[in-house]
Amino acid sequence: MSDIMQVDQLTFIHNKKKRWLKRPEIFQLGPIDLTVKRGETIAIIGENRAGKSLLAKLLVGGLPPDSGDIVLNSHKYAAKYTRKDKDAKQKRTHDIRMILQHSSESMNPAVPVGKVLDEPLRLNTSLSEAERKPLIEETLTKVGLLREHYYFYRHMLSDGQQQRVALARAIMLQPKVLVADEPFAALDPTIRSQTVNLILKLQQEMGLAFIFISHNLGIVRHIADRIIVMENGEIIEEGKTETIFRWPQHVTTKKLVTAYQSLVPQHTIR
Amino acid sequence: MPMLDIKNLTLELNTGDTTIKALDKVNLSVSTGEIRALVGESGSGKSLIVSAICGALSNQWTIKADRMSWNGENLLGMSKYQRREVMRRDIAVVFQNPQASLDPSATLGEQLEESIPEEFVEGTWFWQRAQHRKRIAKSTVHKVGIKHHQHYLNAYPHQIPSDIGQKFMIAMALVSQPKLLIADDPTRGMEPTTKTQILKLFTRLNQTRSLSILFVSHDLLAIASMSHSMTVLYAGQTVESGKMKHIKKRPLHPYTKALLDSAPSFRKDLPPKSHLPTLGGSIPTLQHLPIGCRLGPRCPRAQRACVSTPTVRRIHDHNYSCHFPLHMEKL
Repeated sequence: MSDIMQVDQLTFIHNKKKRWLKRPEIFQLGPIDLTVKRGETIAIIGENRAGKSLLAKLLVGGLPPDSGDIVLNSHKYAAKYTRKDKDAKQKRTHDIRMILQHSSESMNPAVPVGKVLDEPLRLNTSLSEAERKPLIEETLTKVGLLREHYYFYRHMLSDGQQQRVALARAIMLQPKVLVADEPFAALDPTIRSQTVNLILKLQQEMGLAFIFISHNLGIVRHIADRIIVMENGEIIEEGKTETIFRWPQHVTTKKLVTAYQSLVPQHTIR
Repeated sequence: MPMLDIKNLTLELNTGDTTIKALDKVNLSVSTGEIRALVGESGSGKSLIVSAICGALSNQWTIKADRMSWNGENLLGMSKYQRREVMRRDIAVVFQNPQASLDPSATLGEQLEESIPEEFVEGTWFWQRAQHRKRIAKSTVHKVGIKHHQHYLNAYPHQIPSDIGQKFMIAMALVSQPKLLIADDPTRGMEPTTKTQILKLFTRLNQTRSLSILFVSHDLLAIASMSHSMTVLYAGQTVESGKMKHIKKRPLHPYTKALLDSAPSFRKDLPPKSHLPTLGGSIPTLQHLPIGCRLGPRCPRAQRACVSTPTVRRIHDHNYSCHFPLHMEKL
């Protein structure tokens, strides 16, 4: 497998200015180095306020980082893009897509699903409307929905279907990397299994690299190839899934893994 | 002798011309010192049961039940005052969304001190009582695992992250030392370490103070590790109920099996990245409930008989309602 994305010294500093009688709040993320292979699944775990969601947003370009580079397909651009290199931005929005945490709230309730899915195509490609519609319908069937769902509104869909639309929106532009912020947290168990199966299937078909944040270590163990453990804005441990679960090194990782193991019924650990 | 005993609870929503049956003959009982899990997906009516127990349903709902009693007293026949007294001292509820259930206009400390019953506060003079109240608040907050108590006791609900809010709700419920704790999805969105911490706290309280807990959730991993018995709910019908270890070993209802299968941690033999077994389709909405067994359209074992509602059958302590249960061939 070849490297598809390299993240080099990505840094983000959140700095609230000191005010009268108030201490300044400083939160630094990174510097973060990361390589992603083709078709690989990476899980980011860690406690709350460790900077996991922030890292996801920095990767897709939702927030501008302070320094660092992202190399994608041997095309290098500064992670912090300026107005001038619009081309680089366009390329990046093509190749790295995101699924947001609450799929239902991240969809516009006033427009039908078709329009929601049309938006990334209209903004990022030069396809005409006649070309866009079959593409949207094809993607809808790919995620297990029907063509008719093109005309549905958000409130007409169930949780699982909304998650599928979110997934469809993310894979609309044929990205190479998919970033997801707690994609399974809000879903019910049976729907969650369906989504996991769907993502696994899409990964096989499209060779997607999938980076996701999760608290559910059972799912992480099941689908992730590699795990990144974060604390206070830094990567404290990184490794293969089995290695992390069997021989955790860092104190925080140990805590997380033992907390998970204590819930799992004993006879399955062995 | 069950503390809380509910038999054939039916809830109907009146929407002008039509009535929707949100809960259909639900049975539930919690014994003294028992941790009972109530499992179901969203829209199965878990939270409705909780609201029905604490009497927080609006007038649109019609409650019908053969029996709904607390320690032998009929909850439905009580006066408003008596009901409130039971809710204040004996039953405590942790609601689902902390940000929405906390009072936005008061600090968390004020809210917590308000929920301390007068009998627990020692001291003759008001400043002694205030001090003691503060001490109780502080120790309760520590007990649920909040570290910076000074900061959070002085904060308003909008200033705190949701996991702290959740812990605060638990603290407010525990401070009055109830006999039954109803926890509506208390560990949702928590990281594993905090979750185990909260679950350990619940188990400890259950063992030392013999606190009964009705644990409402769909996190099967958490449930399996701590609860003694389980009731599974699907689309407003009780599907299966019984001892946890029996259900885990040998689920009789196809839906229970699907739920257990959906947690990959339960199975060691599952190879990584393999296809998870699951039920097709999605949970029906209340307006479009299928007739008969409500799992029918999604059930892999469904047959013609499934269009009539199955009756509750019983093997020892294990209740189930299914026409074609699993594992029955072996018996």
